[in-house]
Amino acid sequence: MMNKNGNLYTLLYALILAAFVAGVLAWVSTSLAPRRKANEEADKIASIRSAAGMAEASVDSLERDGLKVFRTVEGEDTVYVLPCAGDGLWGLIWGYVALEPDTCLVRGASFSHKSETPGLGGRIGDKAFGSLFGGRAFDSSLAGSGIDALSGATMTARGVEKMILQCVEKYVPCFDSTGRFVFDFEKDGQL
Amino acid sequence: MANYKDTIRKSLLGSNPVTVLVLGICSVLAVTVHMKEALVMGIAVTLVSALSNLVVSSIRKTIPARIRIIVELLVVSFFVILADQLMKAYAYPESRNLSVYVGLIITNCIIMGRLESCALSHKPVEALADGFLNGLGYALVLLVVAFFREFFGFGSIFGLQIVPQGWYYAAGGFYENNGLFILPPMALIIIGYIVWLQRTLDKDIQE
Repeated sequence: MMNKNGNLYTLLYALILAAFVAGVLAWVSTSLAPRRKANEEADKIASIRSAAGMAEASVDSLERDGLKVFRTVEGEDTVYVLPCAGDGLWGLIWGYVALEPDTCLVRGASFSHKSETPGLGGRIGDKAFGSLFGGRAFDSSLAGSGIDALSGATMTARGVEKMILQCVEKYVPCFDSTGRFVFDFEKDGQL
Repeated sequence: MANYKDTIRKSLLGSNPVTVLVLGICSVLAVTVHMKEALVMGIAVTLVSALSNLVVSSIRKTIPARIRIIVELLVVSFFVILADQLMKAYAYPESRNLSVYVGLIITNCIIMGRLESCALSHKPVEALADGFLNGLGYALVLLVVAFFREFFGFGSIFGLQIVPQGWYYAAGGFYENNGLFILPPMALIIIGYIVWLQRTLDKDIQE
């Protein structure tokens, strides 16, 4: 038996245990990956539908010059949903902004986050927060008009503000002089 | 048998990790807005605590003294990451809402505390029971706090609407949910009440 407090034993013990743990976790992670991906995809579609306020809509993604847009269709209604992404306090935040057809008004929005504090910054994921954006103009006034304030989550709220400003700027070329959202996107895929 | 009963009572009440030892408070504030999340978190912590106690106790005679804490952390993180992966695959909405707090189970003082004070000096079966019961003690407090927060904050229990919709102002009634209950400070206030009540009833734990 090796000396339990010797350097070699300690080193070998740490190496073997770490390798074993890492191996098992890697295997679990790989074998659960398809299920996890499916969950993430379903969650994405649910967020897009929630932004558009259409529970059963079919969603497809469109693209032009690297700009992505989601199109949700339910019955006669077609609504375009713009994705946005940015940084919160602890990690990525992202969201979807749905536009009213033929106007530059926001129909609704939904937000998500990777690791904001639950109960504080995490509240950007609440339906109530997203719905505050409904009925507002899709321009730089969309950020900062007080609706993005969350008590106890200043940093996350600033992240949302910045993200929305970037999103507005990015999609400016898609509006014509009358402020209508012009659709000339190529279909990219079905979600 | 009486001994077992005593141990169970002690773990859940007399030496409850949250209300008596005051460990793991941070996550209690964060994950008790809804009962469903509290339950999922409670189950995760109970399993991690029980299994890491079991494993550490089983290998306690082989652990080199100088890296004792690191080995314990490795075992705990193994089970936490496992729990996190399983939740992402099978309880996705809850895992999303709990976000960082699942990963933070690794640093939950209750678990390290049980490993240090029980697993290193007890046989695997005893350690397993100890970890399990302490996890349950944590889950119990989580559920009690979440009950009050969800009921007064949302008017629901486990997501089921309890307060009739017609009672709300919006529907012409007289009732309004109390927003303070949704915010973290209210968890601290409720725990304060539980601690006070428990110490009033149980003279043994008064200081």
